[in-house]
Amino acid sequence: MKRILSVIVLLALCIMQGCVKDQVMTRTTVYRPVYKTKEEVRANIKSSSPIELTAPGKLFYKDGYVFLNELNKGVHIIDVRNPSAPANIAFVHVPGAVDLAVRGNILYADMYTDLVAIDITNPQAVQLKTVVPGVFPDRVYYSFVPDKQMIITEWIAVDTVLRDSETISWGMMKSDVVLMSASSSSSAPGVSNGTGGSMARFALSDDRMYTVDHSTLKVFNTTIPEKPVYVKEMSAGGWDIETIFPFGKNLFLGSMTGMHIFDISSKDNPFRTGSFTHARVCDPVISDGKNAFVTLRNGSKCAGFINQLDVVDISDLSKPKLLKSYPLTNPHGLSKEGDVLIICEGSDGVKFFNAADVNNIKQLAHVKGMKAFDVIALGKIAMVSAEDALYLIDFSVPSNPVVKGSVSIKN
Amino acid sequence: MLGTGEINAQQKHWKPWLIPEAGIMLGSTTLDRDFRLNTGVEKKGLLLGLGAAVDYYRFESYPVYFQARKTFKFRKVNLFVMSSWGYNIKSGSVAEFSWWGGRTITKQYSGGVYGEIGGGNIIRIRKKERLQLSVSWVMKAVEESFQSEIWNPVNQSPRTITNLNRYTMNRTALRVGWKF
Repeated sequence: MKRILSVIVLLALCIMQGCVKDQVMTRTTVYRPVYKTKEEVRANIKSSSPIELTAPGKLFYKDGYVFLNELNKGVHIIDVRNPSAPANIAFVHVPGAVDLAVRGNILYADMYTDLVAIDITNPQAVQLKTVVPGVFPDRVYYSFVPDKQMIITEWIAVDTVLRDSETISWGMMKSDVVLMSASSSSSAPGVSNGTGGSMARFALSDDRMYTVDHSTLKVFNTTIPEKPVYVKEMSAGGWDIETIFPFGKNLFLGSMTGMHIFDISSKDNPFRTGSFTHARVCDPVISDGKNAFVTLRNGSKCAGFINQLDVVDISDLSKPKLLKSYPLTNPHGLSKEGDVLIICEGSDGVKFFNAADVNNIKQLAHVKGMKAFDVIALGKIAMVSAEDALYLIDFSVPSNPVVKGSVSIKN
Repeated sequence: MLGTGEINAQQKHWKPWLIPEAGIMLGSTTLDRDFRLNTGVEKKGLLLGLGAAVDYYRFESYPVYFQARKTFKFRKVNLFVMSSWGYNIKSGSVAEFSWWGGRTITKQYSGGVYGEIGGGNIIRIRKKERLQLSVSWVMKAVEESFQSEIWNPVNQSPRTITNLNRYTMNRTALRVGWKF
């Protein structure tokens, strides 16, 4: 009898074991991609009358116009020739655009994994000139494999219920998207380059465009502006590359763990001359030729716990060394015009410094009331990309900067 | 003294009973323990009562439940079947450090359904004491809510969202109880 009982108990255990699985139902929000074919996407590259700014990204300046990226949608063209009355004059639809540069009358932008060259001679009727396909393959989404034949044109937030999964798809969380994109200075005869912000990932120098992504530096020949030609790619000297800034015959690459300097005397063969390392943080970098100015910022994407300005002596490009650090609140993009150093401090606005003596940088003014991300300073006007507007700040008197005009952003 | 005990199926009046139990919970995630105290009244082999437990499986929680047991004899072996249904009490919050951005995530907890179906063997120890060995399917539910950030690919910035995890833990329980 006891044997029978034991068998019954064992049978019961076996039967029940089949239904003793732990289950979890997760209610959360994920972003789902919306796909289009490449043909459909290219057909949609066109200009239109200006649209409202809603999610601005990188900015670029050329000849009195600011080109402001609308994340993943295109580029706003804003006439800032009169800083007191900036005018949003057109919008160029470039699906997937995150980074941009302007050389001559040609706008370069990334269209997901492709580079596009668009003639903007007439901003109201732009023309797609060249598509360099697949040059930004690293535009990936961790834990998510996009369809190779199609392009993601939109992301839709969906409240969803996931069953029997202990983990949410972190593919659509914080660390997801690795994108690419930088700035400019000199030019070939007859064709001039624009100027980018410090957060840029596209950089124009003479007749070459350099782009950075997570770990690579790419070279494009833009001798014929409307026909950019992919030349080569190389290691960017490290991981987590975020920004690129051209100055003279050098490129300054900002990464989450340091700054890398590349010599571009040989245009198509950049080589790394030196690096400066720091704790893991976000760090746009600019240079005035003598020193490099690196802002270090913590935050969810950047990790780290530092918010400061590092001034790095680059007199010896092979051995950049830290001169001095200055504490900041939440530094983002920065720009330098003459002795005036301008730093965007996130929700703490914009700060103006006297950087004539890099060992004794002093704050001159603090413009509050805006969440500032990036800045381009030219002449006496600082073009500040903020959460609620593109601001034009006159800093003729650096100790008393004045907001001359703005183009509002619809949040 | 150990052996099969007689069950008083002819009992005419409700009589109180008390069964403390200790169990091992076998689930798909881990193995843990619970302790229960059941009490009630019985008549003619039907035991009706209430119980409370400490269940350590994954989330320490405190089920309270109604319980019914029916004893019977099968080929001279004293057996019983039982079922318990109630609420699994779980409350409070736990702060967990997330390396991502150096944030601390606070998880809030609440309870859910508690249920059990099972049976076992009754072994007579003394005149009014019985050892009860049982095997049962036990389910408890716990809700966990917390805020996290996801990357918003549209405007390239983090977005704070609220997540809700509803856990349903189905286990096999092997218990030993002492009936007074």
